[in-house]
Amino acid sequence: MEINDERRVYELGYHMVSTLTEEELLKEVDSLRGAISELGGNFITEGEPTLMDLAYTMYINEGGKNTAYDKAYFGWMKFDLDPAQISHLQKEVIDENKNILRHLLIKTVAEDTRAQVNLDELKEVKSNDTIAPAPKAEKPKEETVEVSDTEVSKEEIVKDLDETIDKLLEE
Amino acid sequence: MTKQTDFFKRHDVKHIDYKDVDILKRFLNPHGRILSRRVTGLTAKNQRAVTLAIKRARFMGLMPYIMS
Repeated sequence: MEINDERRVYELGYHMVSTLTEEELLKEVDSLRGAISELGGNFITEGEPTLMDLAYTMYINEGGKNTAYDKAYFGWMKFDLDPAQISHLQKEVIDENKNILRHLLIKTVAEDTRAQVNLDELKEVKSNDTIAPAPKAEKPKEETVEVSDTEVSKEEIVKDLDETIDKLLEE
Repeated sequence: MTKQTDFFKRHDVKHIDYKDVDILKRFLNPHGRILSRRVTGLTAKNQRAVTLAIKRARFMGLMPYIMS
């Protein structure tokens, strides 16, 4: 696919409201795609809309009443388009679509921008992981006095004492 | 040879995308605030790119503004 110098690569990320059915969702995405094609856009890559939990509740004001959304269909599409058409796309197509909860239109490059990183490696450290304390240096072993398990009877002790007293008296 | 501290250079990542939430989460503290360059060890260019990507991800509800 050739991209002219006058054209620019854009990426449109969008959230469609979660109240849409699968069929309605496909219709909406098709109409969005059709509108971009009408403006002369060429599609490069696309991410299919998938239902996801939003990180925070988003609100749409409908007739003076706020409607809260905790879930939405998140999808994205990358296309090249004449920069002069972008404001038209933004104002006439995206802003007018009431099923688009939120969108992000950014300048990007045609090549794949998603990082190809092994996610297992990224799980090495988690924010809620507890860091184990460093192993303590081994303390020097205290000298222990061995105590013999054999019990010494009182009679033997008295006998020993008598012998020592006798020896002392003799001296 | 000194060890490469920049995560993106170490993993040969050319572009920092706002949709790569698992990678971007590495650069947040437990409250959800963006870590400083002193902590992340990124190059100035990549630190700016990460900041922009996190702000885009927050706007799109892919990442929270604050974590409790």
